Amino acid sequence: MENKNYEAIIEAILFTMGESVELEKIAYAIDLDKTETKKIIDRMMAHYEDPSIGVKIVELDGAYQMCTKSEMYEYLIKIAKQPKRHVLTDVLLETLSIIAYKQPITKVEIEKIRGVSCDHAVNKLVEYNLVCELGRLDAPGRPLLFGTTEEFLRSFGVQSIDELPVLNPVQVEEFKQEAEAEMHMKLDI
Amino acid sequence: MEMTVKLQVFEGPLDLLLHLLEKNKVNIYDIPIVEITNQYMEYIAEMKRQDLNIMSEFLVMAATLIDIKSRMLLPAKESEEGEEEVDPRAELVQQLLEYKMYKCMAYELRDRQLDAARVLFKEPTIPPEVAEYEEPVNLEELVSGLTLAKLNAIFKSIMKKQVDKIDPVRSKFGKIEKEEVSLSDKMDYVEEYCKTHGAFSFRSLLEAQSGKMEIIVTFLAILELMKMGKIFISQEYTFDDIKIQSKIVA
Repeated sequence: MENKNYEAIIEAILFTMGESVELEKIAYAIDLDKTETKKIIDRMMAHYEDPSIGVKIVELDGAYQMCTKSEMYEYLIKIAKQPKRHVLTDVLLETLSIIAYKQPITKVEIEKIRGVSCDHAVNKLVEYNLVCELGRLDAPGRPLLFGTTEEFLRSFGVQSIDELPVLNPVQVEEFKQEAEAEMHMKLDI
Repeated sequence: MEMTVKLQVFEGPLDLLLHLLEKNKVNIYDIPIVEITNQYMEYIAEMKRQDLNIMSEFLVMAATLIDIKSRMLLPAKESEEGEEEVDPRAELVQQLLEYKMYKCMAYELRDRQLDAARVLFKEPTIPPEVAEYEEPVNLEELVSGLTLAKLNAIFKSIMKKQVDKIDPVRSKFGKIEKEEVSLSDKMDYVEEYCKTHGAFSFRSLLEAQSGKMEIIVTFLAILELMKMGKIFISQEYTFDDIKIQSKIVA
């Protein structure tokens, strides 16, 4: 079969399924191995970048999903109802960023970084399906471990946990230097 | 939660500390502990929080700051190898730096969320016949490799597990039964006893009972009958046996 047909099949699959589909499943459907399948999908993703196409394919931690391009939003909103996106407070965002970067992590470890109890925040994040339980830590009390969900990847336009914006140690140095530069006096102890 | 125009509400002690450090344009690696602690305490005094949990976190930080401050006032101890003691602020600085990093990333994430919100996804459109379709079970595949001998072995191992489950010690315990002795029954018994025995000694009545429960209930029965005025109690002298007589004339 020509490659063109594979792309058509994958397009139809992603459109019908709506939800994300794992690479293995797509490969199984078109009867190719994963590497070949990934190559085809990558090609399709590049092809979709053309401005004449209003949809695109996103990758979410090894699964693929079809969605509209953000440029289309203003037109879509006139017709389609937007699914409710939860407004995240600063507290929730901070807690979420800690979990995202340090997962798997326990509530106690989160509290150590934030300096305050995070019970309510973590529970809310679980409710919003942005965070989920990943199991238990093999330590006294067997505390729950938390990590991010696929919904988190979708809501923040991140391909996978590895693709999160990097915590920049260079930035931290900049902070320090800025503070030093602005400092006029040094208070004695 | 009150909020004056000048006073910003802080989510936690680290939040407040970072704010103070920025306000004072202080190098995070060289925090002027005295000054910062003083300002921190001022803020706490003015804060009117209802939530005790959060307030206690602030107070823990206040105690930590004062602890660091006092350690810095003491002369630096030198350990046996002649190395200097660790800067008591070091741990706090680490914590502040880490918190600051995540605060930054939180803002980054928020921007990303705004972008991602402009992307719409689709619900699945699978016709119900397709969704309900179940692949027919391939019997041959299912039982391939299964011989009678294997089944027998599996059966034996399950039975063995059942036997092994029985705790050798605990399963041998007998049942301990609770004796049911009712007060009203005992009262009737005592009354009967009275009628047949006329006057009798308390001790002999109790001796006729079997078991502690019976003795106790008998005693209660006697008290109850006494209260009801059905029997008559007398004692010749202190610690002597008690004589019981029926008051009811037969």
